[in-house]
Amino acid sequence: MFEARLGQATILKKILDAIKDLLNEGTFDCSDSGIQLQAMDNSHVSLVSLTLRSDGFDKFRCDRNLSMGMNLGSMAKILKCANNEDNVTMKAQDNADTVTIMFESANQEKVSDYEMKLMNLDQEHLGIPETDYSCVVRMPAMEFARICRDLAQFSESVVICCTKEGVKFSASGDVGTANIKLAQTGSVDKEEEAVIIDMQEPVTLTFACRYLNAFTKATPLSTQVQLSMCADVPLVVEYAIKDLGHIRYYLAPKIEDNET
Amino acid sequence: MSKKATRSTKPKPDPDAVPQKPTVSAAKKVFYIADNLLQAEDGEQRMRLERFYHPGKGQLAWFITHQDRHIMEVLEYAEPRRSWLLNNEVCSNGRTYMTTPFDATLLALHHLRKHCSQRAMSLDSIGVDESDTSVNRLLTKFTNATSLKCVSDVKVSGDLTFYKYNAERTLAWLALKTRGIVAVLKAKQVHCGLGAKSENYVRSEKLVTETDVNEMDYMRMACDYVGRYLDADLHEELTRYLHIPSEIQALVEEKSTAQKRKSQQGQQGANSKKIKLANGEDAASKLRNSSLLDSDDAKESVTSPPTPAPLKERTMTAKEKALAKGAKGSKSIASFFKAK
Amino acid sequence: MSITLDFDIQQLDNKRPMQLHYLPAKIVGDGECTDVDKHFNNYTRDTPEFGKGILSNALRGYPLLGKRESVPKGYKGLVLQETDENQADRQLRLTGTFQDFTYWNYDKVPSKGDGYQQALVMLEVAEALAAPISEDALENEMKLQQQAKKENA
Repeated sequence: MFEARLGQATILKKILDAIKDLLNEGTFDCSDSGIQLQAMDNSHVSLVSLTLRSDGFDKFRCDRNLSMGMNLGSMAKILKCANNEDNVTMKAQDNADTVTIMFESANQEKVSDYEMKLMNLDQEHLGIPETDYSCVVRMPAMEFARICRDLAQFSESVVICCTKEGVKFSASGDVGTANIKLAQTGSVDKEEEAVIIDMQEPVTLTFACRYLNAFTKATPLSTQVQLSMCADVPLVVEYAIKDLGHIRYYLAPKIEDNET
Repeated sequence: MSKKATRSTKPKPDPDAVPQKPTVSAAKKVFYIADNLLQAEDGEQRMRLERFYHPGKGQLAWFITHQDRHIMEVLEYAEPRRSWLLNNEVCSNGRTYMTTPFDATLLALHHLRKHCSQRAMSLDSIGVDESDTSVNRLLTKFTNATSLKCVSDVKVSGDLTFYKYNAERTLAWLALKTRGIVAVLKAKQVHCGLGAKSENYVRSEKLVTETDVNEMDYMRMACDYVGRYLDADLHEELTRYLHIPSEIQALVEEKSTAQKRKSQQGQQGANSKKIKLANGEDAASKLRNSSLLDSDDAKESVTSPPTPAPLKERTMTAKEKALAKGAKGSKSIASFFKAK
Repeated sequence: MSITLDFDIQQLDNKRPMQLHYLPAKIVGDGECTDVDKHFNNYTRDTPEFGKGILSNALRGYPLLGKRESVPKGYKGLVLQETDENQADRQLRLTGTFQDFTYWNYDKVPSKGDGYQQALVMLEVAEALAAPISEDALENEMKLQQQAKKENA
């Protein structure tokens, strides 16, 4: 059987919020090393990869590898029934067709349990090759979310250009053009406010704004976000989930126009 | 080193041997035979299974004949992985053979079109030179003069009757048959739409309003059913005669009517009343101001009129549409990652 | 090449009806098997919780859900046997008749969505296709068609 307990339901709520807009359903693969979810969005333009390590849970038991196909919208609805400080436990029997999600209030006087039907999802796993990214940028997650939101007003696409001067986000459309430049921060008091750029080679890539804005729904999960880029390779937007794991979004670049 | 034989090792198959599937020839067959074939008039009961040319299939097919006068089609109902248990015996042939009423004129049509389009011929002279005697037999024994009149021009000269194929009459005749089938499909509530529908769920009231495109769906299904017995070109002529648009056209039309319906419903919803509470606030804003809702929900669903769910199956939510629009122009991520 | 159905109609009514089960399994074999009453029918249970008249049983451990079905109205159920396939003149002899049988599905409640039920609907459609058309109706249709053509021209 499978059982995983987290001290705070709020983390799971935030995780679901971060993925439910991109994915209608997904398969949670549980093994003794933890829980993994990997799925492409409907348009097959992005890939979500969620990893939660078993040692990050308060209690984790997985006797046999288990794949649970779930409707993420339904799961998010169930999680809304929990208070942020509640204990949340996910349980499933081997070969079961349902998963039980249980919430216990902090004072243990209220216990709710919800049983959700699992789905049979035909999803093949994609192998993500190890890539040496030409450019890795680490910045505050809020900053990135703000940039994506602001630039979306100008265009459907955002150009990310990374050179030794720093990283530049641009968008141009009917309204006009917008450019936001971030330079590497010299010295900062708080590490989470720093912008750190690790550049091997300059890179310029174009991406769909709406997808970046969908990725930034994971901002509540982490103070920092890491962007990894390399020419002709999907962008990786990674949010670390403290003490638990990470969520990575892969986004395919836009097809180059012949005219500039 | 010899391998220990365990229960899982099987004797290696001879690589040169021709692979043989286990064959079972079931001697028994389960039949549903129509009562009227079983009327014993003179005690002598001779039903025969015979083969005649089936225009829809383009080859010979089985029919059941009775006393050289009546003919019925033999339909075979087969599902994969079925067998019969008959008293204390098993029968590997899980099929059910059914005799169904059948208008022999449909079979005759093919021969009339082939031989009698240009000149009138008498029935017994058609197909007389062919090695397959079934044609002659079909035309002389099992056809019905009144039905033949519906598809051809008839000239009587002395003892002989001559038939000449008439396309106009045939199409009109087929159209009437098609309409008859539409009536049965409607009566039995057969689902003829473009998607699949499960029988196990109760249809919500809201979905009943999709009646505009259905008439054409019934006609198309009925025409296709009739077409199963016709030569391919005749089926096409019938489709044109009945003005049945191709399925792609129907899809396009359906999408545009769905759009129209959606915009109409949006207008209706805007008129819905907001619930007023005792202290003058309306329920929606009170709910929003309480901390029970996440900020996300408050913006979308509480104050705006509830958009009906049934259309969700076919159309995407606004968010999904926006994402799909954003996806345009991007490469497919599957092209970067190969399946493990 | 034709196959004769060789039997006497009178015989139909005299024989005791056969007990038939329509099983959702491909059995690769023909002929006598075990005592069906003892090893199969004995275990048939009424399971009204799945619906009216639904029965349950199992075959080799696989759960079956079934229902008593009748041969469609206007038809008789016959079991015919081929005497010798290799003969030039093939013959089918009557082995038995039946009016009802038990329809079994593998782990699925028998419903209107089953292929067999839909096939029965086709029987009615076939009747509609075979229905004779009167000459008057035909003349009428042709007139309407002429009119429509004139209007569109």
